[in-house]
Amino acid sequence: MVVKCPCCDAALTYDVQSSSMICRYCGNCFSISTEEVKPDIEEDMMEFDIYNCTTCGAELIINDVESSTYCAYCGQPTIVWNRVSKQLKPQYIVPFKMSKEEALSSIKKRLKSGFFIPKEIKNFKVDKLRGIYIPFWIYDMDYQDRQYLKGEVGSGKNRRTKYFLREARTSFNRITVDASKNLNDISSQRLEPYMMDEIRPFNTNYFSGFYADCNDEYEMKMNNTAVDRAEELFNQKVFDTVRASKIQILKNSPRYNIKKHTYVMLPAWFLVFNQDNKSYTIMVNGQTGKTVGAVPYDKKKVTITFSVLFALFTAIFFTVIPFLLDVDDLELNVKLTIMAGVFGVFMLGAGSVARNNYKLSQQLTTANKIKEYVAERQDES
Amino acid sequence: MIVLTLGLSVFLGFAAAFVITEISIKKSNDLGDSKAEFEDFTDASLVILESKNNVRKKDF
Repeated sequence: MVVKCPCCDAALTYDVQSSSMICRYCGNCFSISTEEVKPDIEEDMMEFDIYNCTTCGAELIINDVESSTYCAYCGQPTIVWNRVSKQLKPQYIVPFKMSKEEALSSIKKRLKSGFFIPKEIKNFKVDKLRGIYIPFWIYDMDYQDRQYLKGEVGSGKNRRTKYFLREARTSFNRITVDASKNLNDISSQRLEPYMMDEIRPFNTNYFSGFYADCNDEYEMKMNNTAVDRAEELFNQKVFDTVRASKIQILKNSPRYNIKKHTYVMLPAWFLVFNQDNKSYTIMVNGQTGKTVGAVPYDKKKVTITFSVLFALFTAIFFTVIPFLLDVDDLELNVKLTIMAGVFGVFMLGAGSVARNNYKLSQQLTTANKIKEYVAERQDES
Repeated sequence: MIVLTLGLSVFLGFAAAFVITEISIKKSNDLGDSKAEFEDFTDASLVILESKNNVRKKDF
């Protein structure tokens, strides 16, 4: 999005600190119009011209009331018209609150605090760092359900199954659903929450200096995702009212009513860097600074830590166990062995869950799709 | 007895070291895996319309 300075005709950019448009050439500062968007305009389309810069490869979205002869990113007068694209006009936007430098500093700070993160990654070299507005739909929805639940109460010999009934309702007013096909839903959900009290009526000026993605997801799929998210949040809240473990829904009758859905743009920084011929994309919530992604670990450090812990715990157990076992009581020994076995298997299971979750996060961070998501808005390479 | 003690110690020692290492790696290298919660998506609270803690299975 390129907006020209009324004084000197240079490109204006959105300044995160002052929340206004500034001209880096003549130094003038312009406030952004906060004219309200009519709430009944739900399907308002807006025609955008898509431009490409032949110098830096950037793809720019420019609306039809403006014209531009140079690239807002590299400053070169080498942008060429690519195509006209009719896009749904966002109703609201949450502007970037974190500057590029703050996003970078937030990532560096988080990486520095990771004990198992290799030094090379802590001192990474930025390949690409781009601010991108991600299209989202925000759903207002009433949700009600009557649930018959099963759970386990008590412990040891007193452990038993108990049945519960809960009927409850709530109203969600900001369930967010990512409307971009290219960005994985799990990745976008990890960026949440966004603080909706800072939402503003949409104004194309906010796009200046940033990239924006387009809404390209099917409405039906987004509705289903919104309902699934509402169901998950609702069930978890209901389960919190039940004093039992291993809670399961045996029978239920959920009802929901989607009252409204609003098209908004939410900000995120995407950092891409390469390490050992692998590309990593770390995301930062452009409003709250929440950093999301998973990076590889230092194998040497992990091996040393595991070996030290293994030796330490084996020594502790080797010292303690003889006091628990009794040479003459075979039954007690068998019981203790079984208990120790169950405890050991439980620990191995917990470790495996942590490992699988970490691997899933790493797969998302190294996925080619997310790298392409940034690259498409960056260059042709 | 010594074989049993040694066997249990090695098994439990391995399991304890494994779980601590894996959880530490996740905490250290998985950035921002916290999920948004119920309150992040609504200003309303959950209204309980009916609640029973001792339901017989045959009742439903």
